[in-house]
Amino acid sequence: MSVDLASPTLELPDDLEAVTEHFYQQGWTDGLPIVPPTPERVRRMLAGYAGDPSEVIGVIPHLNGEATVERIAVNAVMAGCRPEYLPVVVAVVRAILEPRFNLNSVQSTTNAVAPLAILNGPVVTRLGFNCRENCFGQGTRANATVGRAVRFVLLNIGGADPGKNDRATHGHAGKYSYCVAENEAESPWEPLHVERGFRPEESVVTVVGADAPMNINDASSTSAEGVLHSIASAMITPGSNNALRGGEPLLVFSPEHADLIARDGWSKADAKRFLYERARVPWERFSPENARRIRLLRAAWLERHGDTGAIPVADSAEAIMFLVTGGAGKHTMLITTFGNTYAASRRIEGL
Amino acid sequence: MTVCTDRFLPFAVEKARAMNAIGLPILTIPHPLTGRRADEMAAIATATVPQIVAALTSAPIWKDA
Repeated sequence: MSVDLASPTLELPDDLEAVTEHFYQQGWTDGLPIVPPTPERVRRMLAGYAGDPSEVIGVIPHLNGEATVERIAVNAVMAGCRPEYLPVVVAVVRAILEPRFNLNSVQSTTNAVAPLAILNGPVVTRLGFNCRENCFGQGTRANATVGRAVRFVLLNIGGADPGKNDRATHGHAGKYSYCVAENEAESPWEPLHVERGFRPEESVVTVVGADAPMNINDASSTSAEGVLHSIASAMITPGSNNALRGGEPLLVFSPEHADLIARDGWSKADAKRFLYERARVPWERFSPENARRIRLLRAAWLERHGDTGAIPVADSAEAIMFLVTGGAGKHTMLITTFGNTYAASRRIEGL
Repeated sequence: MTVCTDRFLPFAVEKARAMNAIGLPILTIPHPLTGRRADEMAAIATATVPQIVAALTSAPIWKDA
């Protein structure tokens, strides 16, 4: 059955370069070529979704555009998604619209922040999300196009055009696409979505208001404490928003680093507690002016715990997030966050 | 009303329009707001307070076209 589309149509030359150029000139792309969202392609995309195309998933700041399933599908076509990815993109949109994620600020801040979508559960294998070598890099269609579709939703429905309503001072490469999956099979710990209250067999997306990743290379340590010492040392950068505001810094362990920690008998909670105690920035690492500001921003923590001469990069051990993903190698990545944002998780419906 | 730095005025206008806050008075101060010395901030504040009073007691500074 043919779906009636509500979106306006454009008459453009039947030429990929001309269409791409027109979309680029209108400010509707990320600068890369797009797949023209013809009515036929949008209908095929919507065939990947069981719900009503006119359903409003939410209102996207900054310009408060209504994100209907159809509009999301148009952007998914442009991004190069397969139809079966559409339920994932819709779930990401639902997640970033949860108030705790604070999309309004994520969209318009000067900070370099982008929604990072993390996939867990059967969806990872079923749709082929990369959770092994180079999982944050190029080369896998599901990761690349789902993340890109989310960016197009933020741009074309939310109005986050760079330099106008997206006020990022620098931005980062994750603003093209930022989507990854957990390597549950090689993790010694319970998966992220189970830690967050879902069942293992549920497919879930968790979104994080994330800075660019920073690699922590430690191929020498042979104990949990050794690896975690290296990680804690990397976390205490005075300029991060987690040092300023707290929030939920994300650590992305390679399976080998996670295994090394777990083999010493450390649970996730043990490792988080260690990092919470060790990853504290001494006041003297801040300029006096910055220290004064941080004392105001972290007043609640200081009131509760007293001033011990250093400030932790999260308000509690539980606020430090763990993800296990990637291929072979002794690396962990630190992804600091915007600070004024908290992760949100949604089950992926209609797969 | 709201106050923003001059570099952010177009953004503030767009935001006000998106929020349907047509006619919201938007007062600008010199950019940047952050990283200024206390005496600079005091000078900006001294110059700005009368404008805030004026904005709150007169017609909107910015109107939707």
